[in-house]
Amino acid sequence: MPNDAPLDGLQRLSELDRLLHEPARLQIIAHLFVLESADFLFLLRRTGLTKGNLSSHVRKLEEAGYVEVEKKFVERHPVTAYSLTPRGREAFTAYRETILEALDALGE
Amino acid sequence: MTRRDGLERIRREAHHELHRDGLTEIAAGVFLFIVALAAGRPAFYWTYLVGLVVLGPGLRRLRTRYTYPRIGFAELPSEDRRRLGRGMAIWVVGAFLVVAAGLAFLGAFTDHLAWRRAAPALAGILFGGGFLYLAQQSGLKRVYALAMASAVTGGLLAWPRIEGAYANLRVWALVMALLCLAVGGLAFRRFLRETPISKEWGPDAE
Repeated sequence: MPNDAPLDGLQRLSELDRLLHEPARLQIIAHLFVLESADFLFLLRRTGLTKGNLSSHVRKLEEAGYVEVEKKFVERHPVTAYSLTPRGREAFTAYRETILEALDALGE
Repeated sequence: MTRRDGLERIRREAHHELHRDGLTEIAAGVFLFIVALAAGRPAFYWTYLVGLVVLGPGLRRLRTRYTYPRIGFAELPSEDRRRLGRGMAIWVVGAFLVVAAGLAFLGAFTDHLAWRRAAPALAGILFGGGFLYLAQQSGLKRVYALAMASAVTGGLLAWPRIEGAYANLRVWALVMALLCLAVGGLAFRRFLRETPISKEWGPDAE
């Protein structure tokens, strides 16, 4: 009897979060996943996106409730810091698991 | 690298970016200067406290002025205190055991003056541990070199007989302070030269 496990793995691709399944947004969220918070300039430099692109993708993630914005002061200097919400963290973890499973199912 | 290492790499690159300004090494150099001044001199012990109180906020202020306008601001997640504490405790016990084994090998285990002279070796390993931790987090080669230099100079400076209480330790601290300030100063200068202030720095960047 043929083993249908790889097919199951691939079928899970349909469960992927479409909002995260986009290279720019994936880059932003992966950076915020490993950091407590980061400002616009840090994300701009780390992701290599253009200002407009980064701005629009961050807004989409914010609208989805994955990213939150906080205005704070660092040594009396105002900073706009972005961080991942628990919902965003959960969504990214689920996305990673699904995509890694699917890639494992495809094999080398 | 496997595809599961990607996040770890992003984390390390962020650490690297936030520490490549050389200011951490400069702060370590200042603290080591304090050690060189105060070790074995009770009248100067208060400088340790001043150093510990002033260095943290001073470092943050310098980063706000020079680093964040160039690379942006990011906060690294706080360490798991229990894991960090356990790691530090193991390192401290390990350092004591290495020095004790060395003294036992030389037949000087019970000689308190030999223990005093061996203080640079102990301090070298302890400080080296701090540098090694930072190097592992950031992948900065110069910090690996400082970790190595700390342990090696500590070991070497445990040999000569220098007059004065903890004189060997003070010489070691002075050597390491100068090394840290030189390495950090060069890295800072390079950072300022290679990374211009960005127009995107500020609260309304987007």
